Amino acid sequence: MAIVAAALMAIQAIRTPVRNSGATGELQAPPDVQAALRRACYQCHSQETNWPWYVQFAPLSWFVHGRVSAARRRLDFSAWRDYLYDPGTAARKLGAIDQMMHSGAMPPWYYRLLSARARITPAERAAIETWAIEGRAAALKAEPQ
Amino acid sequence: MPCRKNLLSILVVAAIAGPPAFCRTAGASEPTVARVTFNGGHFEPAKLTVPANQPFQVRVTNTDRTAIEFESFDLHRERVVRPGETITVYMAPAAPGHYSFCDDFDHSVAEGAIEAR
Repeated sequence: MAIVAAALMAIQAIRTPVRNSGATGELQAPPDVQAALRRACYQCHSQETNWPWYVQFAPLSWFVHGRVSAARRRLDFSAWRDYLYDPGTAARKLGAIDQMMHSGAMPPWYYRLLSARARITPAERAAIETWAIEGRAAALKAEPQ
Repeated sequence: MPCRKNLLSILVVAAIAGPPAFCRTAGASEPTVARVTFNGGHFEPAKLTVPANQPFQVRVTNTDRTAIEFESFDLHRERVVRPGETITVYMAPAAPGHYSFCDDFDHSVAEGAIEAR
């Protein structure tokens, strides 16, 4: 028991550097879509993560920081204006959002299980899909040749 | 006198032809275009240099047999490039620094880098 406690104390020294940084632009979307994305997705896919106290402690911090870091690399709503600068990238991100909503792969099951905020209603899912499909079509048209 | 005439014709020709292509630089309104080719499982050149704090473009040509995903997590760019295709990736002004890019479809491919300076 003492060894486990000592090990747990020791691993606290290994810090994870993931923090919130500044946003480069606000997401432009209808209010219902924006509200659903903010509630269910921003916790991982933005720079507005609300870090609960318990994720300050290893080994949970390693897992959570790792997941958030990976999620932000894939899609960071705080970098939305940056994506729009390159319409091809915006189209790709919107296509992925549509795919994730359609398949139900996002938010991940374990997050839906842990947090009521992560549960998206069918109506919200449909609204996000419509927004993503229309946005993707517009981005593809906007792409300079 | 013939010497002055020759000088004048050289100046006229130079004014019409403009600077030689190899030293042509982007004007204030014309963004810098950096070119990279993906062939044989790697990016060539592996390092691109662009001016910092100015918009620029990266023209990516895929001469390989499989599609790649040109991805820069640092610069928030993600584009699929099919075999034989050339795409233009539009980049916002970047602060001086080193930004990596990769083929996100195949992580065994060596990363490339964009240096803004």
